[in-house]
Amino acid sequence: MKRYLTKFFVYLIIFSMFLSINTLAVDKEQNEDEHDMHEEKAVVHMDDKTLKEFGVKIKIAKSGWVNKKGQFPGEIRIHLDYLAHITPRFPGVVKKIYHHIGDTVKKGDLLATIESNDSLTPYKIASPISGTIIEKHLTLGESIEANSHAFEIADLNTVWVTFSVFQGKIGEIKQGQNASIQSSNGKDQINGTISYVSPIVDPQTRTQMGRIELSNKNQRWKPGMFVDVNVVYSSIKGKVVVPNTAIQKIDDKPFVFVRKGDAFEPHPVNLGASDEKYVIVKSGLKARTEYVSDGGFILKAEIQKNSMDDDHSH
Amino acid sequence: MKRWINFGLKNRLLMLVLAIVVMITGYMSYQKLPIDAFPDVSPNLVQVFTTTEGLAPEEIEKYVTFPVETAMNGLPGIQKIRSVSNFGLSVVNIYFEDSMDLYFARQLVGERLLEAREQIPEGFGEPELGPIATGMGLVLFYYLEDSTGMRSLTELRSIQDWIIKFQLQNVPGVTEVLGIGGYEKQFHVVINPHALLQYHVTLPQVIEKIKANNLNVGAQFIEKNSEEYIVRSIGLATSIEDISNIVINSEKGTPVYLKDLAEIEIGGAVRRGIQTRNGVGEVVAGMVVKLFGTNSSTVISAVEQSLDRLNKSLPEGLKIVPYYEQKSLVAACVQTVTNALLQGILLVVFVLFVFMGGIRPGLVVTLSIPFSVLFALTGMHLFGISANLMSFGGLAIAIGIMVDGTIVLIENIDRILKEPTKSESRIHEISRACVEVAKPVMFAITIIIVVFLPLLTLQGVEGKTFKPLAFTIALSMLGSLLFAILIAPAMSYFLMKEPDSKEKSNEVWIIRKIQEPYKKLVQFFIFKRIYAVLLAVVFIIVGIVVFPGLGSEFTPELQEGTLILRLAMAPSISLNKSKQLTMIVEKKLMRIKEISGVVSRIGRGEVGAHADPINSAEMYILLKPKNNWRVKSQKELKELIRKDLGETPGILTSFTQPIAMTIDELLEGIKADLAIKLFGDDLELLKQTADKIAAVVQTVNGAKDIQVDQIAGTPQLQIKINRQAIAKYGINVADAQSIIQSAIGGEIVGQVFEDIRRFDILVRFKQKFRDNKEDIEGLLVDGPNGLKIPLSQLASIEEITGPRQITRENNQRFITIQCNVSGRDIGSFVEETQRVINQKIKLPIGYFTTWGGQFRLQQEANKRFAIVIPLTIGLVFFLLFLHFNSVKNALLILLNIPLALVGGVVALWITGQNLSVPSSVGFIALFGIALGNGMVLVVYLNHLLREGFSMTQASIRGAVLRLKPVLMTALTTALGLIPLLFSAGTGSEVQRPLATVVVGGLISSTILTLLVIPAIYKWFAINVEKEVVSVD
Repeated sequence: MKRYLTKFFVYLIIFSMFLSINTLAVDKEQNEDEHDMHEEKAVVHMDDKTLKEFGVKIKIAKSGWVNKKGQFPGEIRIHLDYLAHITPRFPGVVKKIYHHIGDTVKKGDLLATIESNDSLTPYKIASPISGTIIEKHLTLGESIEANSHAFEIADLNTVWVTFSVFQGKIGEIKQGQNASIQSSNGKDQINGTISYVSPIVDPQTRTQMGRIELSNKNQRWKPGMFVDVNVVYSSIKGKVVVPNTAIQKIDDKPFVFVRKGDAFEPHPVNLGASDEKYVIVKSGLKARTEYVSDGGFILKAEIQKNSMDDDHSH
Repeated sequence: MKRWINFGLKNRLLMLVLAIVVMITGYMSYQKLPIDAFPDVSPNLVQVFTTTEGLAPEEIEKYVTFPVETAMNGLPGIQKIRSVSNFGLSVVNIYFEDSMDLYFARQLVGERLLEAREQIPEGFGEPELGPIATGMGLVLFYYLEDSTGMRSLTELRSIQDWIIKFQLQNVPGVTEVLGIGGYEKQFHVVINPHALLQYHVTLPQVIEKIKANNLNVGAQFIEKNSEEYIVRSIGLATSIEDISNIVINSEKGTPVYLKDLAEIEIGGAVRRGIQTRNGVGEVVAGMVVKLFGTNSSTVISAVEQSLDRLNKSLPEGLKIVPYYEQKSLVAACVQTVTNALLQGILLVVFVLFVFMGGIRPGLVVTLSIPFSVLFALTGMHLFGISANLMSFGGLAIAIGIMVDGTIVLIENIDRILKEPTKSESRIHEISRACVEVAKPVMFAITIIIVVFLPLLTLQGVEGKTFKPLAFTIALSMLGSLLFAILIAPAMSYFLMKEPDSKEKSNEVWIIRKIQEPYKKLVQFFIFKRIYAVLLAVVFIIVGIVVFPGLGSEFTPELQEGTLILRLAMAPSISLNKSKQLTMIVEKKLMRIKEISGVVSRIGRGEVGAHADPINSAEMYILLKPKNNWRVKSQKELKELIRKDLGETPGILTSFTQPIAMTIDELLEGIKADLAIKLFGDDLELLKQTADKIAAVVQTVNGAKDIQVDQIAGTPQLQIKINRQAIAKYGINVADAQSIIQSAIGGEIVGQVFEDIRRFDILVRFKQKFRDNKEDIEGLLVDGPNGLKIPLSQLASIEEITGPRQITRENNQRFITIQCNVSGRDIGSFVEETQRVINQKIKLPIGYFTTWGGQFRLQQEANKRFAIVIPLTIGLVFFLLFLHFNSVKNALLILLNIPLALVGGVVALWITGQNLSVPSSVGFIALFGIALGNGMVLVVYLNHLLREGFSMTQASIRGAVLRLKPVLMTALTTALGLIPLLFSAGTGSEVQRPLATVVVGGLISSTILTLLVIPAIYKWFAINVEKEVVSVD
């Protein structure tokens, strides 16, 4: 009996072994399959067809300019040098009015006849400048005081654009800089030069006032209109300037992909000044090399492929 | 035993009625059984989703995920809590024990959620429970096809959200309909910040004014002429015009309208997911989620009916096109097993009639099939097991086995009836015949049921997959036992008659043909017993030689019939780029001959089913009918597509299938052998330490495919408010932040009602004023007294790389280091790695690791099996001993096991299949069957010995006489499995290894039973003389 029992246990053990080996099954092959593309490769190869398919664009590195720009909200104002306030010398009664609001007058044109209260003699007032009557504060028969504003005449052939410079850009805006003025609806556009920058900052709004003199022959720019003022306040020349789209960040550091035949290699670069479209490459990219100016994301993604998988742990 | 049989025979009519009742109940249960494709292996979990538009992972974790998680701590039956904080979305998965009722668990979570809500700051989103569904719940996906091509994506999405969704949600069994793609309609108030300056209004003022000019009120009623008039004031904005004309300010009597400051237009909400199709463009799509516990097939057909109705009522040219239906899978699976079942029955019946040599005995045995099957169905209904590939597969496997008991019984009745003893009454003969074999039959069947017990201890996915199979096999065996003991004797009384004396001892020709050569063969082995031993040894050696050549896998992949190509793109990718790349791949796929269409989902739609980030896309590949394929199977097609598609730069592709994918996501399974989880608080430190650990693991011999989770990778524009700067200007942090929020991200300020449809009003700056870092630096923050300060003066703005998502388990952040092990055993590898890491790496304070992965699962499974299998063998041995009252006999029968194993192993090797869980199940089934066969023979040998035959005589006579039943039971079992072996239908890949093992094992064990056992019986025989003495 004992002998048989021993035998029984031998079988039992063999049996259990069979099963345990059996349950040790792991899918090794599958795992290998998943990981075989994991070798690190910094160079990406891509043929012209694929480049086109993925919208990868290539340019040759060259020098260029980077323009620092600012856009400021502004308003068309009457140029104070071309504005005339006409006031009667003596108090009196308005006898006659020759021009009305909106009329264009020339220098020396008669505006009104007023009978002086003192001398009871009529005297005439004339326009000191050529311009448009923008305000008129007298009516026939009205008795008006001396020093009251009878007419306001503005020469709108020249207007001012005033704009506010907010903190941060104060100091960058200087007299003599070129500016482009755009109407709010975006339809009209004109260039001008900054003629004046206020030396002080408004303590209330903490803004600085800038001013541009505009020639306004066709009178398209009406005082009171809101405009946007774009100023290029500094231009920097760079030996190598690339579009912003050429910069790819890998591990938070900037890179540019350089082409060698069908191979693309990320070159670490040092960046200088930039504007909304271009950036200066201080080092890392030599002039006249072919680089990826747009669509480099796909190359970066290809390099980073190994860190992308098993992203589905949610 | 005798009593039972006689009871059955006495109450024959009652037994017949009983049989009919069982069968009718079975049929009725079958009607009520929920039908699924596979057993649902989803974990028992409740999901809590919270969307907070625009918030980064860190904030989501801090403000939303953490309060939800902590509220869930300490719930009863909880297993673990795992969370993911993504951009704009928090998902907390609360896993419960499998035994917990889902509705109860949801109720518990719901209660605690109230607490969590209080902890979440105002405006940071409302946590919501996910749909009442499991991983199998996504039953139907559709997209909207607009043949006119005139409708905008916004329009289509509105139709989806306000017509289709509502109708489908009314279908019984549908718990949720989730929309994705297109644009959710919004009214956009696009503000020009310069206009704000020029008209001297601030953004908060604008927002306040819009809110104040868009509402209806009620004012009770007035009485007029004895009638009541309800007073109602209408002030809701209903159109762009209404919004445009909201007065924001008035300067010198001139009103400033909203339209002076902003453009008001119809736009789309910010989206985190889209659907594209065929590389052509975007589509609007929806997915139907089935309620937990409902019958997939009925729900799907109800949804289909509803879709038909909807299609008729939709505007001209618009159609709902389903592109994925679980129904086809359910149908395919049911078809596979039903086919196997029916073919199996046919084959078995054929064998029965050939071997029984008469219609009548064959009929009785055949009847045991419907009886056992219907009995099992009744049991399934009672235990709440759904009809699916595995449970029905169990029935298909059992077809051949469930007749065995009755075969032995009927064969004996047949034999005794044919014996020329006229003195006995027929009922007495039947009773005697039954009693003779009833005991071994009962024991044999009990043993089969017992060997399936270890399967019931399987855990996790394998457990959920194979338990239904084990259950149905056990149930049908129980049914067949009942039939054999109670009903078959009664049936045989009605159906079988004593043969005419002329045809006595007229054995079926086929048996006669075999009997002669067999007799010679068995005589040879009995006289030269050493050859029998040699034969057995050769068998075992073959097994040992072949065994190492077998590959192994955990469970073969179920082919669902739908292919999904999964794309993983760079984590920093934008939705537009991701769409572009996806469509490039779609175009490539469309060039492949077998593919008729591709529908892709990028990112996520309405929350509830998916939480994927926008760098991931799932492409449903729609295939042309199989006869247009260049290859035969889905597996080959997959390879073909993989080859034709080639590499796509910047994209990682992998194939998966709808249900497998969803369940993988819910399980968050780790496929690597070893996974070290490092828990800690600081993301940076976690990453660093994990990298160190990975470097150390690399040095351990056998380490392969080491991988550390990538937790970073999403670029952030970080705006850090400088407190000193804002103090200088007298500005609050909130002032600055509300501008940041509403100017850049936009703020919902109200809703526009179009009848009951409601659409959000979103206020946001014009794109050119918020598009890049410079623009954002220039955003003006309103201070006191009309002060306006650009953001650059108040905050530092930096571009950094932040976490792409934060995963937490049991309230702690963690990072996983995975690796595979090759060329050495995992246990020692883990030990060595642990030692080395302890030596070389000092974890930061409060940081700790846990070790898991597949090795843990296997270890656990092995540990369980190491106890359960010997226990089962012990139990079987005990049963055998109980039956034979002889250790030697029991051992002889156990000898079947290694020989049966050999056949199974060789069969796997020949067919090129792997060792896997299903093949293990096959081995288990095999033991039961092989033991049963052995028993029938040994019982008879003992019987002959007791009747006074000499050892040699008994051996020869017993073997020859038992040839027929042994061959028959083996043949029926094997033939019953043949359809599964050759089936190529959906789901057959899981059944095939099982069937292969059983068929192969049956062949080797039958040879053993027929040749070796009679030969070596001598050494294991009972001692008759001693027995006689002791019994008398």
